Amino acid sequence: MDLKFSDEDLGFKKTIEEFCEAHVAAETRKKIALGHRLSKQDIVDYHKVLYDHGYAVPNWKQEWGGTDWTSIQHQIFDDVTAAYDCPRRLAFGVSMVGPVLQAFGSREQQEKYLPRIARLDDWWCQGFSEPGSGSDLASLKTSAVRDGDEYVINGQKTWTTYAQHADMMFLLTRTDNECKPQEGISFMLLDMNTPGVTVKPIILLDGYHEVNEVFFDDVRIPAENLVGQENKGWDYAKFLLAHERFGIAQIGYAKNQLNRLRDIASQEQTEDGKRLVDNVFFSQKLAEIEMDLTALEVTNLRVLSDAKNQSDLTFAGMLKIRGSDLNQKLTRLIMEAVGPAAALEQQDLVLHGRNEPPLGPDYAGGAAPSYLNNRKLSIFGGSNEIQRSIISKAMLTA
Amino acid sequence: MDFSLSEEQRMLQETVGKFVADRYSLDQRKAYMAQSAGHDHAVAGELVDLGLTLVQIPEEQGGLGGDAFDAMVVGEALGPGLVLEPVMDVMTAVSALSGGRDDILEDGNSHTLGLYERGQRYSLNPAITSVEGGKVSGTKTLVPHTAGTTHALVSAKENGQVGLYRVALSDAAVTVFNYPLQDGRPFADLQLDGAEAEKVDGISMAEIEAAVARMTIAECSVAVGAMQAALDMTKEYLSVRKQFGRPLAAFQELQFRLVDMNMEVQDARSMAIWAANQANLTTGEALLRAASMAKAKIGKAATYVAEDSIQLHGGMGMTLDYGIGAFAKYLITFNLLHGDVDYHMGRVMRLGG
Repeated sequence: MDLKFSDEDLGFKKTIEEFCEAHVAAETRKKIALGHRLSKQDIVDYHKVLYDHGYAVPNWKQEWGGTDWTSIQHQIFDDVTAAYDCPRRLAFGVSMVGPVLQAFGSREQQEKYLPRIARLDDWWCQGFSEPGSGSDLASLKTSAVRDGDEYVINGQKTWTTYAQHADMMFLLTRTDNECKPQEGISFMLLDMNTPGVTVKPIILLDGYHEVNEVFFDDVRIPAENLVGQENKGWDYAKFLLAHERFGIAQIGYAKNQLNRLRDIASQEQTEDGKRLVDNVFFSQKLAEIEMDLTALEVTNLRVLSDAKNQSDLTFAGMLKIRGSDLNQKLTRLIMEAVGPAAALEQQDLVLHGRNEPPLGPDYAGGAAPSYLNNRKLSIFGGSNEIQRSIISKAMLTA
Repeated sequence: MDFSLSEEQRMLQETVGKFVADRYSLDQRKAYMAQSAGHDHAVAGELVDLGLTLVQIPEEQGGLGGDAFDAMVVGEALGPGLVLEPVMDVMTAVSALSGGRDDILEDGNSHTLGLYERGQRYSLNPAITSVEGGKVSGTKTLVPHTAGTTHALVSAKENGQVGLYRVALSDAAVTVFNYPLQDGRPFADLQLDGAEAEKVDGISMAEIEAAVARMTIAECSVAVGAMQAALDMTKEYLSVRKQFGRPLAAFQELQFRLVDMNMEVQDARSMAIWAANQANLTTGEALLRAASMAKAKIGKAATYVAEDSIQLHGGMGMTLDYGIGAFAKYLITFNLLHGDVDYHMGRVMRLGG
């Protein structure tokens, strides 16, 4: 047993730290530090910087521009970029459809899309959830009917993150109704500019336009946009979700939030003139969350260090549950630390980047919106209730 | 012992319930919030016409002469509407701090309260605002501010003594910065640069603290009403929403979660009843401690109900348009005003048993 990072890993860490310091836009980092939202351009610019340094698609096969990083190095990259208030890498192309295309796509699909994903020439979105199919994803109804060398798509997707920015969508469609729900689903690629595609915004609790409804009305896509085999889409989706779980605990993000929480609690004074960080109730909560984070970090490293643990569903679900819970607690504590100043809504500043003086300290405006937005962590990507069902099934049938 | 409502209280409950049903659907509320003042002036006028702001004012001053139980009945009935006007503030604190002056009481919604300051968290002790030669300077934050507000009662220090001062918002030396709270209620910060300050007689720190304690207890009842509405909505959603071929309500895990939420709401209601009783019977430190016990306990329940009602709604709970979010945001904001759970826990412990 040796919990030290190797010299090679420490060198890697230093390289990433220097990269963040020198190349990631200071204004973008400041927005993240204050809990303000990024514009599309902020995200695109960050991706281009990653691309220029060979960090855009580290999880890919080297043939397509990937790296030979170890799991630990991936974790170091995520930790360091989070510590430096860098954005999280846009997942839809890099972590979702990219790996699926590499594993199941045709050579033509790979050559056409992968370089464009790596450069973020195309912004991808994910068309999985439907109004009647959330946790029960396999019940999805959006239909794709073969007509000559095209598929005709009808139906609706929902909770589609950043569909308003997207050039392309990967989606699950129903191509067979006469079998078990899981066996009649196909994985397809769709150009968002195709006639018949309509995107309607859904505004979230924090006032932010992050997700959308997407409607398909006789949308015709070329048959070559089917990935792999017809009716095998569920397998590809499961493969994708397994990839998505990588880094799902968001340890780096949580560590950064804990530091931010400590900063705020050191600046805030309670009514007795003492620093909030010295308040007996608050310091107990800080200590507790530090312990929770430490345990989760080690669990995460145990999973990363051992392929057997990586395929163990009890671990994957645990990382999702504990990670989302921890990050939700952290944003709640940040809101508590900010106190009454967090009750003021400052949407123009936080969501739209309007250049106006903040009411109260600069960290106040983003606190409640971040808290509200983070409520999604225990709902999306398989709700925490669904995760518990998966874990209990894995435990009791093993 | 009798927990039933009096005939008058039942009428009050019905009146307020009808007002909320007619005037404060979530869609109507959204439309009010979209107006430039952040609420609807005419609807606010109806609230005043119903006499709600006069509930706790003595009959000899033209009020209804009600007690904290009456305030509680009104608060719980207002809760499901997430009413944008500061009814409880006016009903409890403004009336208590009016020093009996008719010009403050007569118009129901003309006077607001400026008791907090930026950077001072939940402290009621004015650190920034002071009075010299009849002029007040400083800033006040988290001031309820609606279209009808013409004056603020602001706390300030004069020769080291805390007092309450009446300031006209039309005074050239007063700047009003409007903003909504996270839950949409219209509030403001006031910047005072030597505004004319008229002292309200007989009000010192003790009276301010007691008035805020009474207001806090009344606000707890509003929170109970809002929590009950959130619970009802969640129950309804679990019955209607289907996944895996059956309603969510058929899943035992979710049934238990609903039960836990119900227990939180019932505990909160009991606490609000107890605190209203204390408000009728006690003064001084006993009153402050009762308010703190209620706010800490109900504040915890509010967070629990807000978070779990979102979770049980799944993705729908995350949207601004679906109603449950409005309740969650109100309950979260409730916790950030007039002292959070830790603040009140501290006071419960400090003031002993």
